[in-house]
Amino acid sequence: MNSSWLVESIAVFRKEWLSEMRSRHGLFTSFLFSLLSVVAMSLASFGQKPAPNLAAGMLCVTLLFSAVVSLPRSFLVEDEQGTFDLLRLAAEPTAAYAGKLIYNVVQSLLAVFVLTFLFVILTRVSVPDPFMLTVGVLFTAFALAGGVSLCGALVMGAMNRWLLGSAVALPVLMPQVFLGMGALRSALGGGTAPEGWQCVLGLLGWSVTLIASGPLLAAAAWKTDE
Amino acid sequence: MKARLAVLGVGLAVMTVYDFAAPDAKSFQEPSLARIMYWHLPSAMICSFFLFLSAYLGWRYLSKRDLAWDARLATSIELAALFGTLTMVTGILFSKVQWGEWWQWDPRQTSFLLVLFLMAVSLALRGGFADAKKRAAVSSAYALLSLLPALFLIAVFPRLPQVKAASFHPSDTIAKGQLDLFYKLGLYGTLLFLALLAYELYSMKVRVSLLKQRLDNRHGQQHDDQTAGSGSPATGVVRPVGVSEEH
Repeated sequence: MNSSWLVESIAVFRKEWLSEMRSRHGLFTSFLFSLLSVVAMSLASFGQKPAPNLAAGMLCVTLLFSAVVSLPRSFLVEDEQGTFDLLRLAAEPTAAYAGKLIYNVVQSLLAVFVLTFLFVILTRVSVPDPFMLTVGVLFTAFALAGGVSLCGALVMGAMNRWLLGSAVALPVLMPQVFLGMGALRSALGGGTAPEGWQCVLGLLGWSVTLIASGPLLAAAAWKTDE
Repeated sequence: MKARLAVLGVGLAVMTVYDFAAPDAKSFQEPSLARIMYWHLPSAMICSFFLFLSAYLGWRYLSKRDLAWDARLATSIELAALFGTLTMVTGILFSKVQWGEWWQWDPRQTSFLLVLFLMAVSLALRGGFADAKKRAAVSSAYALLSLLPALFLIAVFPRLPQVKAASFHPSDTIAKGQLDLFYKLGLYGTLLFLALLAYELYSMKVRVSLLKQRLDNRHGQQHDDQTAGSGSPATGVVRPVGVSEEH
């Protein structure tokens, strides 16, 4: 990694951030969808405090669908507007991917923490281990952003790319969801602390692998002109 | 070729007869119907092999950019899906016979269903691209991306203590030496002939795909030659045209 690569990545991130802040329409719709899914989950458990196992599953499924719907947008909008080739002229493919990945990680972190906070308030679940909940949710956000970004990058240029992006991401993200559920279950009092930390470590490994391999795989998939 | 297929057909027929003739397995709800395992386990092994082979072929395509590797990759995914479906069907039959339910969300059943989804999505992803090179590149990258979840779902998840405790699915039967000689012979014999059948299917399908690629290239070349010969503005020589000065 050299300094120009880093500068390009940050420039792409900045461009994503500024263009999103200009209209805020996409960000608003993403958050609205996430909020609605949390409210729907809370409504499903109306009058009852869900057991830790069920609560962990509900929260993870909410985070998964929120990520799958909102995160590929940064790639697919670029594809639809026809500006991606222009972007590739200005930045290396790996840097373009990395810039968008950073933006997705930021968006995922914001969404995940807001959704978890709302979920805990609305469903009134008790959190015996808030530290594990925070760390578990943090790495779930990283793993989801890494996986969904890569799937979004792969479906660029495909027919039915919005639908295909979600379908491609879901089976790839299942192990992360399983590990996330394990960590959150322990944080909500449904499992032991060592089990929970084992899942957090698994999530950390998964996030690092996806985030490190993402730029290389995306650049390899975009390179078709040989 | 014909002789190989004949040997293969005879071998599979012999193994089928052997599987029926071998004594019943003990410690099963329906001992006589535990024979499904002779086909279930080899299908699962061959499916996993093709899944991991797909990742290797994907890597080869991305490093060489030769569409021949993509033909091999596509065949590998299709065969993984075929043997995965066989595994799922025989597993569902086994579940009904031994556990009383067609589907009971057993962790092993569910994790294998997710593996099947990985293959189904690979095929859907290939269908999403019309351009052969783009399709090959994206499919190869996805095959590499799927390697980690596939490894987790096939090798790690079923061996987690909490999953082992919750699952009805037998695990480590071979490792613990719980198969008697008749079962070992039946299992390894069926695996051998199914693997040979899979290899034959793989090589035939790859040959057909490569021939199709060659034909497509030849047609493309002929089309280019024809358009060049017809003096089409896109490919012909552009000559200066005189412009009249009259107004």
